[in-house]
Amino acid sequence: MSRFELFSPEGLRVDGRRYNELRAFDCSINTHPHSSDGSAYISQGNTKVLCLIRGPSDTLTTTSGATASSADEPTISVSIIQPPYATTERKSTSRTDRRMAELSIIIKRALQQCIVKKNYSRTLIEVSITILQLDGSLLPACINAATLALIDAGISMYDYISACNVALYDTFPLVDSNSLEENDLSFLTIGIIGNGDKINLLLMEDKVPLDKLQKLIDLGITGCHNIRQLMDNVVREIGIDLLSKKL
Amino acid sequence: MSIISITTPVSKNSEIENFSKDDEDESMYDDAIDGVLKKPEKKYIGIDNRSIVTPGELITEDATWMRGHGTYYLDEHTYSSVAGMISKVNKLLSVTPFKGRYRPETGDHIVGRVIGISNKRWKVELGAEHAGVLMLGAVNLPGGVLRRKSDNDELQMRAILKEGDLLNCEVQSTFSDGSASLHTRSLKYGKLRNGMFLKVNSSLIVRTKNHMHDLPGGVSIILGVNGYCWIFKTKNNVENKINAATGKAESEMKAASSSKGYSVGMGSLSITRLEEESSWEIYSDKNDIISANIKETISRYRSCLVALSFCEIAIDVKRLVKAYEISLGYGDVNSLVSEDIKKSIGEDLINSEKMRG
Amino acid sequence: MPHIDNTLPIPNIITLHSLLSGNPPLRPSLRQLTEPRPLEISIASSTEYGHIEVKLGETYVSCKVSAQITSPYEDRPFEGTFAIGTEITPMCSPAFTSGVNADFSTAAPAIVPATAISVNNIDSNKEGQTSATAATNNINNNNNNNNNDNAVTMGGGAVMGLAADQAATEILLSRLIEKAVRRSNALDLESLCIIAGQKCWAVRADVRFLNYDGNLVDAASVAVITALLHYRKPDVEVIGSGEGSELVMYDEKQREMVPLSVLHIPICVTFQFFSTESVERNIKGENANSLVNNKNYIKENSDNDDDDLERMDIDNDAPRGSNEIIIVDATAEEELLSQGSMTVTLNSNKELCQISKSGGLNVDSVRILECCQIASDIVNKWTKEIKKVLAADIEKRRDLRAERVLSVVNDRSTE
Repeated sequence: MSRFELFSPEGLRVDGRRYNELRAFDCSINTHPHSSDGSAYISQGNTKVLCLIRGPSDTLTTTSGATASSADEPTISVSIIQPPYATTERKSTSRTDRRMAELSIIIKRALQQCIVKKNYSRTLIEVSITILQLDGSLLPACINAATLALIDAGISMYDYISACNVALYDTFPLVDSNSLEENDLSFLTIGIIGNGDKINLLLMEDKVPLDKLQKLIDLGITGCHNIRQLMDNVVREIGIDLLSKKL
Repeated sequence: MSIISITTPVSKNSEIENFSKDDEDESMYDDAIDGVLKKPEKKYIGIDNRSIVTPGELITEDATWMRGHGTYYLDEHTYSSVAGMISKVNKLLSVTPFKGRYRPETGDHIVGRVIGISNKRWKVELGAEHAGVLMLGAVNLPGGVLRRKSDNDELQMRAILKEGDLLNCEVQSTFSDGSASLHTRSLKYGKLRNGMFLKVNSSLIVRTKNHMHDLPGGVSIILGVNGYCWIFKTKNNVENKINAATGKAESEMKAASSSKGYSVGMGSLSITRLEEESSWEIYSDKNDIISANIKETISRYRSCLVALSFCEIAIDVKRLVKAYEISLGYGDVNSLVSEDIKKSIGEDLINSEKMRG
Repeated sequence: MPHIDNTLPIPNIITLHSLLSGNPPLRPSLRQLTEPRPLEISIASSTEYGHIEVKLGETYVSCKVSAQITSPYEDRPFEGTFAIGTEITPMCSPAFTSGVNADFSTAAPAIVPATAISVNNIDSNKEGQTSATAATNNINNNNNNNNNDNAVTMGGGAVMGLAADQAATEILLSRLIEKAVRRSNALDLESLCIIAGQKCWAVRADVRFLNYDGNLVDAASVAVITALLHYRKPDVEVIGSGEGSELVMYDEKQREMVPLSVLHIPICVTFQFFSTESVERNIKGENANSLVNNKNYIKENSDNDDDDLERMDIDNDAPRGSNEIIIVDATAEEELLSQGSMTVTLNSNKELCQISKSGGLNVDSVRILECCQIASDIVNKWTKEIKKVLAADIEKRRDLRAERVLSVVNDRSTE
């Protein structure tokens, strides 16, 4: 199928990982303190995403057009920007691209479930995501970045929402897929709020036999929990640092 | 052609390491499923003031606590909804986020900017979720407190405060959605002049009894609880006092003679003088003449505030003055903008505090 | 401005809620939770090919397939093109307006969700089933009836329903159909190639939504795939080779029309999720044993997800989990109140072509797998239905043609 061996008989993937190994995960929050209320940068392997949050702010004072929010919950707007330099192919994606539009709706809906809505009546929360570099696992990286940025903005959430991709190679699920794997294999995006087994987000676009689904979901959930733990560690570290500077 | 992406997974975290190592030896899938089945280790946090929690973390299973901001609950379990510090006051349990928009509380001394005028009220931007409201009835009108408000006043609202004006006010009350109603019914509040505006994160400002301070160098500062700060030339209260001692007539004459400047004792707290001194002048747009020396001091204080906010050090007046003293050792005001110097001012400050214990 | 229209079903929240929170949960129509409405497929025209009308309860969708010859995309010289047009017009429901709102992610809901009503009121107003459930809940709670479940609101989650937000609905719907039919390679694009790099067929399926009563996606997916199966394109032949080659198209009378090469039949099944409990319980109400319990639970009654309450009285200090109600093929009324949805696309070979669940209620992974199983059964049923209708139509047309041929022969003979 491909001249790369995506999963060797020894159990190694193209980049030398095991099936259940995440890529190098790094994140930081409060990267843009002046231009946003909350900001986060995340890198999962070569996928690098930046998320800025403005809000919660008065719906009236913003200029972003029609926002007739319902009375008792915040309006969340998500915009995703993928500059041409994000991929090896210098292709600019327009703002009206249906795929991007779908992605932003999905992210919006996932966040909606996670934010304590009743605390933010009549407000607007603007989430803008910039994809700096893309190497697979796009949606998970966006969601993870958005979670961290929301936390940085001090917005009440029921729990972290973490997401990760799982690709299927023959009968082997591969966690946190990169673009090489995603090009050739079917993959599934899974998003979890908190540490439970309940699925908030499930997205799959390619063919997978029905009986393989369970394996993918199971590994995906584990991956999400791990990512949540990694993010939590960073948030805690920063918290301890801040605490030392308090009076 | 796509590029092969090879990343060596750096195990920043022991958890991940275990996760991959455990599974290496044994057959693959059972483990993945086992990983899911593994009972998530229950974290249990004693309720400690100042201990750190993150969203979704269980704070307590004790149902006797009242749940405040930053928490939510299910049955008897109370969880945190933000990343922050636990704070408990009597039986009220809340979590203060590390960062976040300012939430107005009654009595907060804040600085805001007028962004709109509508039906008998000014809309004031406070850096909070919702704009604050300053009612026409909640300001000192020229002519004294007993003056009746007329329709004419309503028409002249722009003459008092217009869009873009900065003001210094107090939160009178808050509404259920978190927005605030403001008032300036004291001579220490009102329109701001003769100075410089600076915004820092509201979480850095420490709530104290007094937020208006005179600093060494002939400069005063208002550290608004909402993180908006105003650094300005100290009003010549001292002069006023001397004048008052030597004779009121003289001072009045002086006030009259310097008619172009601002001379009425806005900083005075005396209620009895409220009437005579509430004149249109307190809403004047004109600045006093500020000497180059004072200007430089103002900008040095500003740089110090920026440095403190850059290092995310909580700000109060003592620290600001200390930072100012430290900054004098770094030479020219211009040099204070560099990141290294900002950082070292912060470090010096923390160190000097540690030295004192 | 959001439309408020009297012709829409005004969701009777109290009734629907009390029905769904009952034990067993019931739907207003008393339809089984996992039973779709009757599917009616009809061939719209007796002469044309590829024009199908699908009726799913009161939801009415039509699809017309057409084809023309164009030149292929430069980067895909060996493939034809296939496009699906899905536009929601006010024709199907006054809730929809024409023209797409450009600001998709902040679009205002087209249907204003009904005012939230706290469950507390409902419980006190209704007797019978509802209060019985409340009682069961309380027992399960170990008498923690001071929990915050009475803060639950129905209707607030309607943003998740299909009808809530038109622009988002349109985008998600068109992407869903696209992923289900086009991305899953249901249509063999290579078979549409006539001359590599020069000439190919461009197939287009236009979906018209004629009436909206929930579940547009499923109806549309059936309509598109049936229309593709039914469509016949005229036969073409390349005469000669090289420079002087010529493309000859034969009409129906000259040569038999050629069916499209459809590789498999993907069908969408949409599930709607409801919960009668608070978001807090949905997210945090989880106990460590639940997975194990759920597994047992599936074994015991795989085709009956009614009595979830039974698995909850396990002694555990963590808050008990919530029970989500999952229904299939929702009506407009049910969609308005739904708190989350999931669309699964399958074919009869038990291959998943697409899953999409974005946000909404959190649902246990085991129940998701269960949903896929249910979907698989429905897909089998509907596939049979599609094949039956098509077979009947072929039969009919063959008779017609035979008649026509016969009549021509007769005409000749009488001359």
